[in-house]
Amino acid sequence: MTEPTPLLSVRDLRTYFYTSAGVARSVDGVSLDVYPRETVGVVGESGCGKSVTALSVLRLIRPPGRIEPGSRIALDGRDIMAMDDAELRAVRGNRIAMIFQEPMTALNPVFTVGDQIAEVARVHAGDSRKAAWARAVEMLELMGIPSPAERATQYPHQLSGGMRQRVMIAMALVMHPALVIADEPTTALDVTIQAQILELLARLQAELGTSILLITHDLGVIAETAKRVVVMYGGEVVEEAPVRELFAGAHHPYTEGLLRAMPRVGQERERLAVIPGTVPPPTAWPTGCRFRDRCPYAWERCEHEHPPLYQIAGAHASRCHLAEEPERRAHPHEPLVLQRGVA
Amino acid sequence: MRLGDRPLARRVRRLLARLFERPRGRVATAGVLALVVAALFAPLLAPYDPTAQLGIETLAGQAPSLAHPFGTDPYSRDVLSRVMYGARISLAVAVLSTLLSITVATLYGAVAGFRGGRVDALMMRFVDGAMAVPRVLLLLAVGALWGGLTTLQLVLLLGLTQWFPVSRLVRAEVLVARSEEYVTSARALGAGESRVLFRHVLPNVLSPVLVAAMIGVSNVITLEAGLSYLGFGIRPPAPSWGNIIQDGSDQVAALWWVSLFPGLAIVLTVACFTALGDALRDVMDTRQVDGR
Amino acid sequence: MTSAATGGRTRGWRRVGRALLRRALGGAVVVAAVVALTFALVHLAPGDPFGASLENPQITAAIRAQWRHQWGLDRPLSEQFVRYVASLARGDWGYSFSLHEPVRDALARALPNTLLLMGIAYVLSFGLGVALGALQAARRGSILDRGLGGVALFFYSMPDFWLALMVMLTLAYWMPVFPTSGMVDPVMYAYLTPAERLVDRLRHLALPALTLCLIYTGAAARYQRAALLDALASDYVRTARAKGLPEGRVLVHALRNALLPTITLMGLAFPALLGGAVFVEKVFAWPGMGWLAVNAVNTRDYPLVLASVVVGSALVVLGSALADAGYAAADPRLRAE
Repeated sequence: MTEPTPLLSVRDLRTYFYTSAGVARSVDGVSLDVYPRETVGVVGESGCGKSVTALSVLRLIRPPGRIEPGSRIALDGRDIMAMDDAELRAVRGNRIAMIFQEPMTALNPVFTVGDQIAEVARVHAGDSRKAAWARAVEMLELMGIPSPAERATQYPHQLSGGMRQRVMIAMALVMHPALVIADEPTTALDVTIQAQILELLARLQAELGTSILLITHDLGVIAETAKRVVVMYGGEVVEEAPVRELFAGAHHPYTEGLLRAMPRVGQERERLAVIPGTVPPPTAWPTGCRFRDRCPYAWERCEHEHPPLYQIAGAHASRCHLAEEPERRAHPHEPLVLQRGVA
Repeated sequence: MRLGDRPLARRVRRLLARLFERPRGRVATAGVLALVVAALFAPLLAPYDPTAQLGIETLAGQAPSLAHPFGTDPYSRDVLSRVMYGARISLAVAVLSTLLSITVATLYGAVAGFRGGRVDALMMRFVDGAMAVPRVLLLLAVGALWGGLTTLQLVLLLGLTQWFPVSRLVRAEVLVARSEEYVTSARALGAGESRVLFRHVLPNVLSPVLVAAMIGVSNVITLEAGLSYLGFGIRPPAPSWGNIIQDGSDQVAALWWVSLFPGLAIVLTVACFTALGDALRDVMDTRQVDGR
Repeated sequence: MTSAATGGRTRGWRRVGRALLRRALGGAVVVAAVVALTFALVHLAPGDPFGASLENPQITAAIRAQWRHQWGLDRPLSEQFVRYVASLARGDWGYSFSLHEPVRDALARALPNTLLLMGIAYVLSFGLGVALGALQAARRGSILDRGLGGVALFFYSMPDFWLALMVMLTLAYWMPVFPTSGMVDPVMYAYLTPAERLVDRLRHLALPALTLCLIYTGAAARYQRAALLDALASDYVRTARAKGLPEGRVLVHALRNALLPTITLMGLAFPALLGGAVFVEKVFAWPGMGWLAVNAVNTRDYPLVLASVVVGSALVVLGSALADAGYAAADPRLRAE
């Protein structure tokens, strides 16, 4: 069996924001692939660069942000970075669609949801007003929304949070895109609705054969939906592995911390471990390893030498010097942030 | 991120630093400072006594020249000197009545926002009503019928008719701030109402009030000029920009310089304060990029 | 369309109707309060309408007392107030001392002139201001944006009466394109054909309208630019871009939302525009409400002062109610449940 070619290929993506406080290197050399019909999870705390990565793929970064030269993004082998505006528009909402976190603010409050869905069909398929509207209603029905014809005439504020997110998904799937980028699609919803939305995404993926790049801070969501995981920290990929392998044995201390912080059935909430400290500001990443201040294994090498992405096994990679000096894992200590007394 | 829990001095310093990063902020601040300096040192800078009639036979209504860069008025007074002294009065009236109005607005809005419920509804209803009164007509009536207002009375009148919209702004900010976590936790720690108000809520209200104050100064300058122009504001011979314009307005075709220059002074002043308000708003709206 | 949807919409509009009714009642209360306040201010003021006659030795104290009696000014203030309100209720605004005619006639002549002037200024300045502000926001940071921004700030910073003087100076004296003041040519108007009369009226309208337009276009443009920049930074605009919409359609998404704060501004700008009209009418001797008011206060014509303040506040109340109705029509969140 030959290795399939990736649908989306991101190489050395750098997205910097030029602010008055300095250059924020929010995404700093990220590479990842998404294969056809695959769900890839990107996980990390807020501030790790995962949402900026998602926006960068469709080149939706606005000034003062900029995707740095040398970054490569390809869809089916076509270079997205080299596209002109018209080519780019033909990709957005058509070949690659996005679902955003807050459906309340991501939907336009003064247009009906039907109009907002139909607009996609009008722009990309050249549908007539009538045909586009029919397609919008059909999409709402596919999303499992009761009395879709009536719902289509309503405005976002008239729908519940879960319903609004279904509208977002309908809007994303109108053109049967090859890839859907879902940025925290369930974070704003309560738990039961979350499960419904994830189920819906999974069903639609099976039916339509779409690939999904799922951005989340919630490893639980990843566990339920993704096949592969990319863990981000400090604007970089710090670990990449098939989901099973990651949950069976994370290599990077940051991933370990994330897993320990994950609530499990039968475990009391208060006893959850928390990773001490916070993500450093993207204007001033630490030298060497960016996680070293919060890491219980850090030693002097971590201070001077920026770790490369070490191959651990097969498709498992980790950006940690422990890959070369595994014996140090036996001697954890208080992370620097705790030693300095900063929580 | 809200900055309410930081010491005030540090916030102000940060604000100024960010303000001066922008060309517009620098220019506007420099302009305002220059105006204030010119007003303060008018006695040293002005070439003539602003009320002295320099020669009613020979020097009345002279066009601008080297000796009188802004010309002279029909009473043979030096327009440049009058404009400089006028700055003292116009700026003083504007700044004092704005201080008055934002003080009243802040207290009123804070009480309404903090009390909430019926008191709040009633207080805001009053503000709604007051905003529907045509201010210019009312000031005109008072200025004319009560006649000969002193400068202090003028300041009171302008200040006390200026605060309504700002109080809504303060109330809205208080409502937001009040619901934020640190206020709730301060309360949980047993901080009294007034302590919560002064230590936690008002610092957050400061930024929008500062912007409103800049707009307020601009408004009052224009309004005072208008009233003085109609003869109901600052009384001659004391110079204010408005009544200097009035001195030339009857013969604007012949004595255009008498009206032109004080008007330009108003435009410059209002533009500087407005631009400073814009810059402050920009600076305070800037959210840190958190790179998510 | 299903009946349920129609029902929801009707319900929504009925709610708007109720809100408007509440506004009307509130407005009536405000106007009543203004009547009381102005009445007190006017009648408690020192002096009376016959103060000027003090210089005339022919008019004795006895004659003045008789005048005061004749106009009811010697009665207790409360009684005067009740009488005034009662006559107002009958539609009687009193008799103008200075114009020697019923106040109602003076108002009937002046109000249309002011409404014409303000209406033109309103429509032109908001139309133009919204367009310019939108252009600036769409080209944010460009030379065009900065240039227009500077010009807008320049005009926005001008006092109405001063700009009126300067416009008069340049376009009526230095380049005598337009007449300096009044509504019609005082001499020639009677001899003109209807078409020429219209042209004459328009020529007289041009400068006062231009003055107000310049200032309020600046204000509207500044506001619209800020509103559209806010809208352009919003999540739904990002969604619109992510959908692959062309920039024109993206701008429509933002503009449709940026219209809402602008409608609010139109309501709020009404008192300012009315104030501006007062000064501009005074400078150009445009016989509207402002001109009437200035003359009334100068002559201490109590009934006329009262009437102009009351009409002014009624206009403001009406203006803000209209803006609210416009907002409700433009924002589906207010229209329906």
